[in-house]
Amino acid sequence: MLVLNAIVMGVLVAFVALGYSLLYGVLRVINFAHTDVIAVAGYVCFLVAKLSGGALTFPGALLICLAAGGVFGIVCAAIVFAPFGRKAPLESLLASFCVSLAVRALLSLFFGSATRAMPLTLAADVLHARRLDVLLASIAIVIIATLGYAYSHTIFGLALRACGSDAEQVASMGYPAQVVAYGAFVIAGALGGLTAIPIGLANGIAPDIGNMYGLWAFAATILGGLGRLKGTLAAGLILGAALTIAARFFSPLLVNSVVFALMAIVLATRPQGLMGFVTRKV
Amino acid sequence: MNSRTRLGLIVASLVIVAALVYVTTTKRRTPQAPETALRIGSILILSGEYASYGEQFRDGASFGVERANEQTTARRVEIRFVDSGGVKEKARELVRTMHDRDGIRYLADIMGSPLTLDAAPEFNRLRMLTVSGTSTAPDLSWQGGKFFFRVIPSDGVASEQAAAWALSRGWKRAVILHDTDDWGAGLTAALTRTYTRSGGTIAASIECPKGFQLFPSLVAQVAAAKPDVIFLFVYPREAGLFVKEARTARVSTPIMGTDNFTGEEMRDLAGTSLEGVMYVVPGGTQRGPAYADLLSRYRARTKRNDDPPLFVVTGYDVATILADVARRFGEDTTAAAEYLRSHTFSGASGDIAFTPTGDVVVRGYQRLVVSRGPDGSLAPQPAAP
Repeated sequence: MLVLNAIVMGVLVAFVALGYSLLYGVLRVINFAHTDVIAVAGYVCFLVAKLSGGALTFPGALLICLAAGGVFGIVCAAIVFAPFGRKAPLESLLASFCVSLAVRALLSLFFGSATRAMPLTLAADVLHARRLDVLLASIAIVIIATLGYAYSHTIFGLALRACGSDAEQVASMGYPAQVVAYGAFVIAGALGGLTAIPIGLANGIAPDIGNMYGLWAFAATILGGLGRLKGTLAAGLILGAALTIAARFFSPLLVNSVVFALMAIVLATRPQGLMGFVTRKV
Repeated sequence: MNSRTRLGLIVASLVIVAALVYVTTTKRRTPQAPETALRIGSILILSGEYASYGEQFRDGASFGVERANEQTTARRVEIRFVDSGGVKEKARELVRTMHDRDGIRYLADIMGSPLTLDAAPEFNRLRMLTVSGTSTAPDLSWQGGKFFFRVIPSDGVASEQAAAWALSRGWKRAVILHDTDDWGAGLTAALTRTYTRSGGTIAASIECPKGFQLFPSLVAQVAAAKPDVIFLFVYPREAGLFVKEARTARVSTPIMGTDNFTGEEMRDLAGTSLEGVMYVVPGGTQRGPAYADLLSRYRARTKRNDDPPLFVVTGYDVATILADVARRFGEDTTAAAEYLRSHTFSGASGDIAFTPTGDVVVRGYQRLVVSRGPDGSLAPQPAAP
């Protein structure tokens, strides 16, 4: 059970962290509004369930979260990235803070700040036998494998990697760099949106539901090496295990201390992260 | 239109405007102005995670003021609700503002034990008579000061009730999961004293901060201690999520709480996992004559057929008591405090009297178990003796 909990937790942190890492790797943008996608997707599910007069089914919720995450990614791209491009990372960072604050304020205004249950119907045996955790972990592994393949073996993946190296060169060769940028935001948003289901089921939906996951995911991004997707994935799984073990065997108050201690150790010994590399200009 | 007609129209317009200005300005200065009404302040938590508690109290206090104004032609009473957001510094500042700017001398609650404890020196210095319906920290009995009263019993009493109930079932090994604030720590300390004195053992006392997310691990940690009973002294969000996770993980250990289990968030988040959960709340089965009035107002407002939650009842009682003493003593809050200590009031929760420390004289406790009613819905039912 502990191992399963650690894997699920690790996958959740990794999913959110992959969004951070992808955006930084491709666009050199740190989007602090990224984790608000969890709340946005959760509330969209809540709204759809309310309008349809009942709870959602699992596939329905999955599609809604994917779509809501993707749309949120486009909105973030339009506000955080498009006006500034790659040349003003500080302005992008500040814009992402503003988007995050605005999203939370709007969600609080419309839905209130109380935590609500995720409106998802699941068969009791699925829930009680922990089959849901296994199902979610399996879906996550399939998605990560697909993304990994697409990143290394498709034209779009090539364009993403090329943009990460030299976006101007990519644009000058006739590739639509702006479309690639929006694509990266959509993928990051969709990945974050998907986490709304397990996080919402375990912790309910609230405007600030992404706070802690954002913190852990950002730590995983730095641990793995900024922009290094494989490193982020590994760091997410390590952090998930560390969080689970800390909450299981020590005080819940120490959970975040464990995260920061790990971060401090890695930064002190390998400032570029677990799988990052040092670049030198010659 | 000739010039004479135009002039006439201009003069008529000016007269109308002057008349309107006269009427509106003189109306503001009439002796029936709102400032003649007696004002009561209420510093609640109306935003953030615990807003549902504040809303319950606000509804109850509004009903109480409505009733107080309908019953008599004496000076009207108004109640002003403000939101502290659960921030101590803000609550303390609001106490000062209400006193200095609004001339308020009576406070219907400063919601939250930590906030009340923090603001106690200030409202005592300003001689603002404060009656709480939500603050249960045992420390308030001696740190609340002579201007502090509460219609809800101290957690010391609640913990005695919970401990006695658990021990009467033969549950001698307990785990306490508690919040880190004054309320959670106070209740834990009180229960530990009572429970161990009566032969029980606390196997573990685990702190659970607000906003905690890793409930599967927490449930595993609690279950590993193999308790006979789990006491949850955390807020409704954490309580609801813990109960849900515990039942999902097939941990069937009895779970007990106090008035924290009355929060709507808990019901929403725990869902059907709430079945079998046990809690103690103040108030015997005896209700005061005012309860019928409260019930009719509450049901008319909510359009639901259920009973008002605890803080609606305490809000109602606080407001009716303060309306009464404010009318009798006006600005003389010292005399009002003496009057509170020496009189018994008839409230929705029964007869209310106060001890010299401002605590309510406890009339009894209800032991409730969430169970399925005849229609299949979950609701708290009195426990079998």
